[in-house]
Amino acid sequence: MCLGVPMQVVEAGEWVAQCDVEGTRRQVSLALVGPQPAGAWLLVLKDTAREVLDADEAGRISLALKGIAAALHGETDLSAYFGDLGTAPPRAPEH
Amino acid sequence: MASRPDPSPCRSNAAHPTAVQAATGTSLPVQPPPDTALRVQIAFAASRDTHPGKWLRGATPDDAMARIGLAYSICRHAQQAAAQRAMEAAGHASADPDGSRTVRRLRSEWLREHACNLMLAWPARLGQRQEPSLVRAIMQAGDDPTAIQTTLSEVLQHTALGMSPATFLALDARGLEHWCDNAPTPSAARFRAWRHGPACSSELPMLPKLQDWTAGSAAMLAECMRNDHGFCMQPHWHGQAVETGVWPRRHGHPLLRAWVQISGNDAAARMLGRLVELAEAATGALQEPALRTWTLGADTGMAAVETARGPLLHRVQLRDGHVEDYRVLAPTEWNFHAHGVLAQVAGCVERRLADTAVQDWALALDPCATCSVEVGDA
Repeated sequence: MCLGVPMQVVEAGEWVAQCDVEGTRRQVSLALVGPQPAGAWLLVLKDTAREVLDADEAGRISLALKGIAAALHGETDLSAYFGDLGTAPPRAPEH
Repeated sequence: MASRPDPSPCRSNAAHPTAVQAATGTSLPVQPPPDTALRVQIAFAASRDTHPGKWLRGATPDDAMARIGLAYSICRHAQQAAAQRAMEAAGHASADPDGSRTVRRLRSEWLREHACNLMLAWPARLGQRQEPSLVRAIMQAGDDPTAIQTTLSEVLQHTALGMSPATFLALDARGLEHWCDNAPTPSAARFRAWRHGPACSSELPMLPKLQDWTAGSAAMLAECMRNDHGFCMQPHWHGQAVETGVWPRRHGHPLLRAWVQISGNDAAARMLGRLVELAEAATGALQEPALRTWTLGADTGMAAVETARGPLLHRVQLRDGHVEDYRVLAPTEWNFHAHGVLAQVAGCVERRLADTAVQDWALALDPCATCSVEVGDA
């Protein structure tokens, strides 16, 4: 469901890059974003880089995806994962 | 507003004895007709069920919007537009700072996804070189409609059509066949390759166009989304598996009617629908994405945004200004229903052609996540 995954370029190539995601290597197409240096962050869907991300945004998206996983495992305090705006303190569910 | 509907319609009246199975984990068994000797398994690379209620509950509407944008990053504009309108329908007073810009961004996402399917996924499926220039052009044009129209017109003509988009859209059946046979583009060659494919058309009903949904149907969908968690993974329309996306939107277009005469209601027809919508965008003729909202009760709202793959639904219930319940129904779930298009294709194609046919249709339905399809004997 439109879940892009941030991945970091480990080995750069002209058309594909070897990227790291959570310690796993994936080959990612660079057809849409062009050559990227090692260390660059990419937003990847279906093994194709859709966008180049800055490290901050890559971190926020990665943390959000971890927050989803945490929620699916039963965690209820997700404030550490989503970096909420803090417009109001989250209301904890009653149960 | 329609009276509260009977929740029993949330249960599918699937024609086959096998009950509809909600997708759990990453695998989805497709249910061909019972007399079919095939087994079809679809595996998505990641779980489809993101359970948004679990990570949005308790958040303020603004924080929920931000979380949704991070989680559903690829189609963040459509997802946040649906979220915002659902919240507004639920009574949260938030102003879209620039509603027209939202629509332009939705359009840009839509065109990008069509281009990715036609120019990246399709050649990859056929072992051909991908053609990223159209996708890059759309991405570089951003949400500027003039830039999109100009760049689309030029790039489509040179990379996909071999003629102007306006000329392409005006082709009759004979002209379409001629284009297929003679246009010097890889796209035309792919249509040539898929024309007269395995004799298997889709007879599945279509999800009605978003603009045509009645308040009663929307209310029933909302009840099903709220009462049956599995419904968002295996949705049905009044008990029927249906197809959504480009085919229900465009099946009446003259070019698609012509293609059906030439090749049948096949996978290639869906690819042609995408090409038609890109060509229409290049001529300024593509309609704006449909957006609908419904207030379902105190603090409860639903919104639907038409995307490239079909309508995206968000349903939210607020309590004391925070999210109490949240449901998302993505268009891919309609198309990958256990009794949906792929089940029908598996049920009508010759065994020796089944693997190719089902994989081709899976591409044509354009799932929003990596999926692999396995066809075997039952």
